[in-house]
Amino acid sequence: MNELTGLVLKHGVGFVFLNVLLEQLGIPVPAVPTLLVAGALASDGKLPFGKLLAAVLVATVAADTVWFLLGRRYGQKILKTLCKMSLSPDSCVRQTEGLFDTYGLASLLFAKFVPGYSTVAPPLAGAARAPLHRFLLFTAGGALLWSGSALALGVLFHGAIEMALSTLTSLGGGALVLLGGALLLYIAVKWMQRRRFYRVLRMARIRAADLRRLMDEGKAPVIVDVRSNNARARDPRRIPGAIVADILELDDKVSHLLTDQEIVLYCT
Amino acid sequence: MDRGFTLVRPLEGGLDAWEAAGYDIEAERFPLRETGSFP
Repeated sequence: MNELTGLVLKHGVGFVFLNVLLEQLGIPVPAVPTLLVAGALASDGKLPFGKLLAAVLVATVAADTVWFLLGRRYGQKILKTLCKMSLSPDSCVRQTEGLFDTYGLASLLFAKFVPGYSTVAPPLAGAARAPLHRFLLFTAGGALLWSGSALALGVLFHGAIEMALSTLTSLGGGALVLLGGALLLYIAVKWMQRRRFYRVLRMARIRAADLRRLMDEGKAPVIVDVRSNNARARDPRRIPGAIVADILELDDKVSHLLTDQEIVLYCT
Repeated sequence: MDRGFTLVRPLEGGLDAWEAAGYDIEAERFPLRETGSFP
């Protein structure tokens, strides 16, 4: 029997609860395979579906609430820390804030389906000072959609899941090595992209002292604050004279400038 | 920025670096999305 199936059968709903809670708190123990297996077992009557769904909901909402409260307490710092840990930190802040700016708390309904956004959305809601009761409403809705989908897939495809697990078991250690190798390759590629991006940035950036010197010499470039509206609301500081322009409206805000005009941007 | 600006540079360290160097900062209060705008 597959080890994962054995663990779920042995420890029941408690194992699924713990797996989901740890994953949602940010520990890399993927919960979706467990949910698929649990759904498949529930369809065979080996696990109670109602209790399973309730346990997953409680685990997800509890972890999200911890992140929400951290976001409320530490604000922008927690978001920056989370995005530093991301394999794509350059796009992390902008994408997550862009989604939250566009959809607000409703984005929590689909956050679990967007890689990277899942962990960042709850602290972002906290940092934006969203009301707790509304956060709980939307995050519970999102948790229901996410866990319900995974469990329902397990129920629908229980035959195929059992077959896939049997195949993996028959492949033995080879399958694990293959999966682990693919994961390591993915991380390596992302890491190299990240290093290349930082190298380009290091070459192209302007230091604060150089910008100040240009301003003092009367050669000030056009300075543009391209943070999202919510980021500016959380941190109202601004370099004097900077144009405020969300990245989406940037073209309109600089349309009057000549293309050889020097522009300095800041987004954090 | 689709128009093809040729000289665009990000500020190293962002606002934190600017403020840490002791340069002037304006603080403009932008409206928080605390009420009303959350769906």
